[in-house]
Amino acid sequence: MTFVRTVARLTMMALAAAVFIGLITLYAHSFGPPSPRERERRNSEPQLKSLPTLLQQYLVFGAIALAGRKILRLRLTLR
Amino acid sequence: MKVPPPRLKFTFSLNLVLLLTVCALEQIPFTGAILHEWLGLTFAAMIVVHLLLSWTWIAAQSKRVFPIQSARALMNYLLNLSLFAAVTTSIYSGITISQEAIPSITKTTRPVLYHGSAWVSIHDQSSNFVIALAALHLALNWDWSVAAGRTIFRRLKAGAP
Repeated sequence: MTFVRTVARLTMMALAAAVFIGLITLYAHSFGPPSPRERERRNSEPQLKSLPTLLQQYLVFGAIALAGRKILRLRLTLR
Repeated sequence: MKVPPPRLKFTFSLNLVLLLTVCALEQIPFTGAILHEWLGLTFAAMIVVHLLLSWTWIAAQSKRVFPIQSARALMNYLLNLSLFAAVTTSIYSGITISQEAIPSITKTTRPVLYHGSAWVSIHDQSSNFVIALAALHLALNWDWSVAAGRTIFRRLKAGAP
């Protein structure tokens, strides 16, 4: 029973994801052709010297969460 | 809803790892492209587990949100839906442009990526949205997170498993 329920939930999740994937694929097709001269290059190896930027990322994440907490605590109501 | 302690511990740990991973995924210079791709696939699997664990809440919210009862409930629902869309987009575009992980799993040739190509831009943009929306998701579930954290650490302090 649990297995069937889990499969049903995974199917619903996959269907919802498929809707968004369909929409984003349509959006991707609206892009013009990229410049074939400039290849995208990303470092394959981890670089520990970039640790401060990761810490900055956590700070940014925390700042957005705190700001969201302050704003969303206003408890807006439609009534 | 009362969640049994082992499940609460697992859910809280998973959410904490998701939080740490989502920020690490944004920093490719730190992780490197290869680790970034494998971490991204792990993140996708963790998101599926996260959604399965929250399914009761998701189902209840989906039934309750219409007719609109409060702006907060509607905002929470729309934010979670947007987060799901952003994560789906980010994972799918990441799979499309994968240079190491997906080609090694599917035994296919890696795609040639050009600067400013559609999927690269979509992946970069959706990842930024994921960070912002995940932070707001945390903000909205702050009370649950703090309460769960307190319960777990209190039990750990008392020597309970």
